[in-house]
Amino acid sequence: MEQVNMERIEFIKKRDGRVVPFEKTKIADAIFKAAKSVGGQDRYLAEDLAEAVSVYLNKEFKGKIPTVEEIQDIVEKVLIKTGHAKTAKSYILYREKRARIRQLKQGILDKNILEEQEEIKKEATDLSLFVRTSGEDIVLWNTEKIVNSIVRETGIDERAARFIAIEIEKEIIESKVKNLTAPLIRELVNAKFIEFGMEDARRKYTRLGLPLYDVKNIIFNPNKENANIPHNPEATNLTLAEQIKKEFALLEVFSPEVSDAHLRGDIHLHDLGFIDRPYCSGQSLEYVKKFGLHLPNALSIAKPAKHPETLLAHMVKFSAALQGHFNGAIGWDAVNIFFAPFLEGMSDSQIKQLAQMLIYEYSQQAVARGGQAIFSDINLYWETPDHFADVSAIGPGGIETGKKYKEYQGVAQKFVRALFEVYLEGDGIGRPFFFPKPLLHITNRFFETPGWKEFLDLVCLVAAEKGNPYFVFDRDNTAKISECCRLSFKLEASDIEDAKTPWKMRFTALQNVTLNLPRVAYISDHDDTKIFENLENLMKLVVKAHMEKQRFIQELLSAGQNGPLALLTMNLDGEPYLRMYRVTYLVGLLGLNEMVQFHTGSQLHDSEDAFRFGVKVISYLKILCERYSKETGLRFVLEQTPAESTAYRFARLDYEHFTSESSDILKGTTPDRVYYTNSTYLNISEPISPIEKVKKEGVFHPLIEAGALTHIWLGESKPDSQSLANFVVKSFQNTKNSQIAFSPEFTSCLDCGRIYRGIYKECPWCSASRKGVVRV
Amino acid sequence: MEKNRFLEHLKNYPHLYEFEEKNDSEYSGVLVRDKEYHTITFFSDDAIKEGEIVSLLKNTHHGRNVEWISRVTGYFSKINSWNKGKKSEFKDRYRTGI
Repeated sequence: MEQVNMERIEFIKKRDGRVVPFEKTKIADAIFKAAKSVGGQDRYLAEDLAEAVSVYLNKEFKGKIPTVEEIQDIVEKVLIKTGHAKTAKSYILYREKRARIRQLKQGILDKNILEEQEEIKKEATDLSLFVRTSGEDIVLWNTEKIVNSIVRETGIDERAARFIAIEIEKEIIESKVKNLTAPLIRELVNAKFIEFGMEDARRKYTRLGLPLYDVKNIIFNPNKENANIPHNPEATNLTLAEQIKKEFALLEVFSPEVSDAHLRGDIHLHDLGFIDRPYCSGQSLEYVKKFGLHLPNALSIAKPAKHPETLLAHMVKFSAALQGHFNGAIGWDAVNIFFAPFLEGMSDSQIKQLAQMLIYEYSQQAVARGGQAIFSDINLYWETPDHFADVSAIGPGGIETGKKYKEYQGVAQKFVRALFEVYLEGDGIGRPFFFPKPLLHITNRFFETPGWKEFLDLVCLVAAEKGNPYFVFDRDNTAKISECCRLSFKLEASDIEDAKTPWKMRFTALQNVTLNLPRVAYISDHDDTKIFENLENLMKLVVKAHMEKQRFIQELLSAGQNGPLALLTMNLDGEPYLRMYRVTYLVGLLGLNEMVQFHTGSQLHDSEDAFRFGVKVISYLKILCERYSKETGLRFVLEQTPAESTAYRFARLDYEHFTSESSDILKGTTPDRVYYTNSTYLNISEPISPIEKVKKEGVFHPLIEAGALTHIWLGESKPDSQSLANFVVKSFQNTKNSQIAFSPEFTSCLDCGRIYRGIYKECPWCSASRKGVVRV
Repeated sequence: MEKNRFLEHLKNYPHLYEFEEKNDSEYSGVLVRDKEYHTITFFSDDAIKEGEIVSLLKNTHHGRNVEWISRVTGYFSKINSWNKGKKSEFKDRYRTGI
């Protein structure tokens, strides 16, 4: 049939008053959607019906502009008149629902809806619907409880909350669900929020927790993320708590921008599971010596120790208390020097006994937080470093002895020697002690202090035999306190001033955020300008992340003695224990080698150009740290992130998201045994001579203020102590390297208790053939 | 102990052991595969005759119960608890004397 020349509808008026072009397909879509919900499958039919609607519209409105409502009325009419009653019904219901949502958003509820809901409510009561609550109770369904919780948690209008509560009530009644739990109701509410486009309310109403399957896994299987976590009920408690706090941190503490950057793997926010604590702490024994153990909310208060064993007990207990308030290592400054006033007059064997107690106390504290040992470090000196030499010594009872620390050098040396003798023996079956890690500081004065050669020989013997010591080089007038895997606090003028009242010497890094350097190279696509631009953008994000954590910790601290961080607000010396104005914010480095490899085509060790580019990157980051420190007043410093899990996580994420860029760059074996080279290290598998490695890696060290380290992997070789000592002296004199460690490896047989140097699949002793029995 | 009793014992634990009798003129005895520790051990007839069941069968796994220890990034720890990336790195480490 020929169409009569009719004016066609060209525009429609939307609800918000905007006039937009008329689109017939949209009507077809709506009809088809309604048809599909009642089993319809004919899209062409929907198009034909839409055509009918538009013919109707042209006739009815003759070039005028219809409103959405008017069009929908006509769609209904057309559907009914053409005999599509079921589709029409679905369409009408859909219209009503949309209308309700619009009203809900505006906080208007008409009387009909409220009446309808009253009826549902009655129905629920009749059904005796029970809910298993998280408060370990089974209670009768109560809509008002849900309404209250929605209002309390999301702040939306009460009528809107009631509407949602009754909506889900309706669904629950229809679904005849038997095991109704509080978490399920919450998810149903959240589903409604999504349906109604109430994203903000949904976020606020989130429930944090773990799937049943995961919890079972955590309880039954060991945690492989952190090698220091054993597998026992305490440890799984820690893992479970960490999971929830991690989710909390990403949702609530950090902005979506920062959280997303973490989740994507552009940066890594370390220890999110410990969001409500600062990162790590280094302190001096003088605090414990002067004030005893006087901790907030403690069940008992101890006066300053009078005996060395008591002082040791205070030190260990304070370490455990601190571990509960920091997520990383607990380091102690100049332990042998500060112990010295307590050790006068003791025999060598008594001192050795105390040394043994100290090391065993820490190494066997695997009963503390989460069944972990305390990540502990003891800083040790042979000489009395300049900044402590003329400080008044504190003795038993917290009283000044009237002498200076330099006058205790002899007894301090006896103690440090005894400590290394214990390390040399190892544990009950000769294994190296895992904790506390001894950090031997070497200042220029070391070489002027009589007996240094013989002492260095002893420490190097320990390094060769057991691997424990770190050698920390404090050249010229630098002074440091070290802890954790390599973190150190370079003492500034104000810190040296603190040294005169050494109980004030306490250092905290608030958080560590690590940069995924290889990814910066991938997205910069070999463009020099872009790579530095992208580094800057990433650094801005790191600054933002640090400011967000700072704000959060500050908020917790502001609750003072009644807050969760009461310990850190204790004020025994005129200042809170944690001095926020003094903390540092760490910027971790990871995968410089792979970044340089992708960008220049060579690894750090491969070419001078590549190496120079690496130095340029780190220098630039240092400059950025300084610039942002000035701008924000927060102290940003670079650190070589230990990156036990991050080196793996970034590698895995890049293999997944930057497959083609990363596949030739990643170390290890794809797909899941991949890793990036830690921090600014040279490729770990390259046969580079140890002194060359110390020199080359050392070039980066002065730029990395918060700690850098070079590893020498000894494997099964056991160098003699003399050559190690020469090596250490040469490293001090001829390189800029700031810390080195030698690492042997061991096989420990649990069947016979023997220890072997090197890695064996089978204990050489136990698997040896017996007469007539041969392992094939 | 008698060889038969030894074989009987192995038969009773099929989820742990597989075995095969060897009767060469040179080697006469039993070849035992330990399914748990993935070892194959040959027991001569003489050794079976002289041994006790417990001390004999220890030989299929004795010495497999080992822990490896090295520095992960800062601290020493047991390597079996490391993640896959770190284990991979451990394999790649260039080891050297001084």
